[in-house]
Amino acid sequence: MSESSARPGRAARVDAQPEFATWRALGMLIQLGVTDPAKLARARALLDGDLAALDRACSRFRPDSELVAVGNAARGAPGPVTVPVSELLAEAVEVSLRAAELTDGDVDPTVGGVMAALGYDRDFAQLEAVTTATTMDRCVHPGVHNDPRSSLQAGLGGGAGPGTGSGAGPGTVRVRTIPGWRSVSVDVAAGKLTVPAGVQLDLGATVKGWAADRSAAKIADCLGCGVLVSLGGDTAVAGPPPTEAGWPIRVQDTTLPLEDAPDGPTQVVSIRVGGLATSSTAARRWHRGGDVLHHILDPRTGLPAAPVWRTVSVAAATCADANTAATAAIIRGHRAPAWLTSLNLPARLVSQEGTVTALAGWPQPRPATRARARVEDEGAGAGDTR
Amino acid sequence: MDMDSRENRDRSGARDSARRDRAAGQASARQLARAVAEREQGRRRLTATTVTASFASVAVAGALVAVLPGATHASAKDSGTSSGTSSTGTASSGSSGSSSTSSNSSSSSSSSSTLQAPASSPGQSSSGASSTSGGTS
Repeated sequence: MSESSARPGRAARVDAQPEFATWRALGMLIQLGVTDPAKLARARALLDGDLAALDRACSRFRPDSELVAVGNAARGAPGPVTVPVSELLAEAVEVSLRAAELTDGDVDPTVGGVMAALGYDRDFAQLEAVTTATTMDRCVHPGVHNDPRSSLQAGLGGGAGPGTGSGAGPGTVRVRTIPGWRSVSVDVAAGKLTVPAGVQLDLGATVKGWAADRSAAKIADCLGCGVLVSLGGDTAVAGPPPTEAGWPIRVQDTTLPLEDAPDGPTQVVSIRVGGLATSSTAARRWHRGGDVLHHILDPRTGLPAAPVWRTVSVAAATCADANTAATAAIIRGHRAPAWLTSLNLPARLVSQEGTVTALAGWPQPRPATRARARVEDEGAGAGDTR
Repeated sequence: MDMDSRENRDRSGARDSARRDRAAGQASARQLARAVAEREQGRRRLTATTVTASFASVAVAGALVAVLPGATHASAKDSGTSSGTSSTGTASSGSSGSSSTSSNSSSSSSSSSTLQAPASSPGQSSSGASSTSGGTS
């Protein structure tokens, strides 16, 4: 929360002139809009409280977070472990399991260990400054090699932890298991989470959208005005929109302040309800050995998803659903358009070459918005809660 | 001739009587058949009503499971204590924490058994943007 700025909204005034604040927190860009400018400070306070709680519960990079504690309990355990968790973490895990179920496992919260093994084991801002080891990690598919002892024998018990790097020497080959989401269960009412041995959960594919939904609804409910909450570009709206058209949002490859010029094709759309989320392989890229990696992993291979789409944006009834669908679409590659259409989810897909495809009610882009595409977007510079 | 005509009348009367008896019997049989048919029809209606009521009950049970807080993915899946969930096969993912707020439509969606389309599609905006959505940065 080092940077903060407030600016008047640019939307045409119909019912209210919205006011916005933009700042960085948890390694991502936060955007907050309210239709009643007098309530911006109170809205900001509510959102700050929610983000702090979210960080304590769900951060993969914070050593004292609940999620890291779960990983620590699972590390070296002889079998599945059940740990007490807060309601917030339990709900976040539940949302991630639902996402996994509805995407046939394309969005899987048990990829955390592999994500760390690939080098994304700290806040993204720190990641770029680190010289990564030449460790070679081999990933095991769910259902193929699920014996937790293999993970322990391979060194998960004494190896990487959040912020500690891979911990292996040059040339080391270590086996990383993706246990699969079905091996995780949560009882929200009882506040208990059961995970397999050695698992490191990563809720990054779902938690931002879900948190945006929660906070937008909470602020709108508490303050009685229209609210937009964007957490790293995952945007939820609640309450009455500022104009008849809704909240105008610029969709692009990376989430940047509006003052920053975007790379690649952009489009301004408006939403009145629900959420809009964008997943991109053009953001959060890092180098490992001779490879350029990105943060969206295919759980079936343990490797970054094949680069079919550079960016997928989806509108849904909730930001959590939009986030889930956008991430799954990146992983599904060429199968994504048919899948999104079957769900009637309005979506915008940008190919690696910059070609834009609009589906299921997403407004067709105007020719002027088809800017020249730059595949390599080096604009990313910060991490998030993943 | 008188004898003949009387005999003829008698025979004719007997035939009429027999005809009336047969007609009465046939009417009775028809009534019986109609009654049986109506009873069968009523039974079928009753069965159909019962079936409809059963489906309604299941649907209501499923809806209740979907909105009740605490009907979690794991508890429904692991313990099998939620009869509504197991009998309908729906809402197995249960409700989520977003039900803690009342004004957000996300509450119901986040517990639904499919990714939910928005109530209205995004519109092409002619005005400037108020926020951005891209890959996380």
